[in-house]
Amino acid sequence: MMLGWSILPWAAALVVALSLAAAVVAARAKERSVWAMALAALAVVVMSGFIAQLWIALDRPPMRTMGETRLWYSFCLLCAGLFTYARWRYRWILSFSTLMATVFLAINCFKPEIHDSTLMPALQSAWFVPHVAVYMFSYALLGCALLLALWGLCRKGAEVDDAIEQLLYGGVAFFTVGMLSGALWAKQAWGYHWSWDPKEAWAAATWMIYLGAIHLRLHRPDCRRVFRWVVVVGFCALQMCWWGVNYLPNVERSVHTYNINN
Amino acid sequence: MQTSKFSYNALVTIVLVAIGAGVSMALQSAFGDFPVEFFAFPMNVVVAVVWLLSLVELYRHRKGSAVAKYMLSMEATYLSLALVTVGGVVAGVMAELPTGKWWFVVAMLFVMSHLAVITLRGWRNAEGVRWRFVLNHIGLLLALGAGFWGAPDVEELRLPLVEGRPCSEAYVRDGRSVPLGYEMTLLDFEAAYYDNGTPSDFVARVDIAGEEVTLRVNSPYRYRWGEDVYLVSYEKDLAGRTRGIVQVVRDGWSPIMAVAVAMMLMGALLMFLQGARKGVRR
Repeated sequence: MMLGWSILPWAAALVVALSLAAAVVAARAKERSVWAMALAALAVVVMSGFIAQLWIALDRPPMRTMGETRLWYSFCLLCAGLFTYARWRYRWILSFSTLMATVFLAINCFKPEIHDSTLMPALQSAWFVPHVAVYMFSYALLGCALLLALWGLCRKGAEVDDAIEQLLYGGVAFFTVGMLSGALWAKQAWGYHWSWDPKEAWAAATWMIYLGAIHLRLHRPDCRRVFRWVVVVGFCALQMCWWGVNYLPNVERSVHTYNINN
Repeated sequence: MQTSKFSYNALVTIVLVAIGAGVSMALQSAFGDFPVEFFAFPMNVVVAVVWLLSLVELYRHRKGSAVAKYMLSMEATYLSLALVTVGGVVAGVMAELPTGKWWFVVAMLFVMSHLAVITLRGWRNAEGVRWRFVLNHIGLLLALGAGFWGAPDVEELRLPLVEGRPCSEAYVRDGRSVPLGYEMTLLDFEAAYYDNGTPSDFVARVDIAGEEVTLRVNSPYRYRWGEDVYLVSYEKDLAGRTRGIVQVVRDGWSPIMAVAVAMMLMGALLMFLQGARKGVRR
């Protein structure tokens, strides 16, 4: 039996419960906790299961609508949170990533107009899945970088910059691959690699701001507050790129309008 | 020492932005948009070679000059990043593209010049060639270069094809009709729809210069090197017949873009695998 979107509230509740349990265990433990990692990994597994059955039920990759990209974003956030915790042992990162993943899952639970299984011809391409998946993973890494930067800005003496820097290298690398795969796809679909489409333009701006953060860290590692602020500004630009462009008047000249209103 | 140098270069940056903005505005109001057509091949290649050679000359023989010192500074990097950010935000917000404006052309020239000179300086160190640096920076320079210098040569031709009627006249963006140089005939057009009426697929069988070809979105036909044929859309004409909208794109610079994309893909891969590395800080 195909369940599709209908079981989302149940799946989301289970994912959030597991993830929250992992966050509480991690926050209370002095050392890196195997239990926290196991619980967080279980949340990732449940989430993967939900996405897999949705993919089968829709009979197309669930990556077209904003609701579907929010789903992937939650999934990637859980992965990136687990990775950051396992690699750098930030006690609070699982709490942050759980909170953000919960927000995005909750939006999907309360927006029922995401049931739509059509896929327009322009999106029927081998590029579709890698293009979107790579971006969502990048957004999640950059989301974790934002959380650490905000923490660093609020808490004096927090040593977060090395971890932010590593997350930026991963996030920007995936972002670059997203842009390049988009360029190759655009060439195949329309004949141009790049056309300053509003979404492309915001992606370029976002990319430059994050590259600015990376170069600042190389050149002036002592400018910690400026570095953290640039990461925050970069994430704001990223929001414009992801969904903000849909609300701009020039969206009419965009080819990235498959996801408006859902 | 560090502080005074920082503020000197910061001051230069502000002055440069002011001069660049002033000159661009003056040129814009005097001549209108940048005369892109004037730089069609071979003019663009000549100017690009002269530009590149002067940057090499600047780097190799006038490294001590104020111009070279500033162009190699970190402030020039931040200015370049900021200029592309501004370009992106303007293109991301405005209905009209900034690409034909003088300020955009001046900004892009600065960004590419900076990329070129820092690549000349940084492509290797005492330990050898810095592959990640080279792939990312030269890749980006090639991508920007192919887009910038190649822009006057890119041709976009549209043909509305009606079934059974040969067509060799194409329309360019400003509505002029130009000869295509060969003939296309729509043999057959099919569109399929989902239950809610949105199109699920459309396919055109087209005879292109004697060759029978199937065109669909995401699946173009290569007529020859640098010339591809795309099915972009379809419409009903007044007589109720379906017209397939075919687009021919001529872009001889796309191989350079392909190399640039490949380099940046490898650069991004190294960035992910190696992460931030200690000990490379200046």
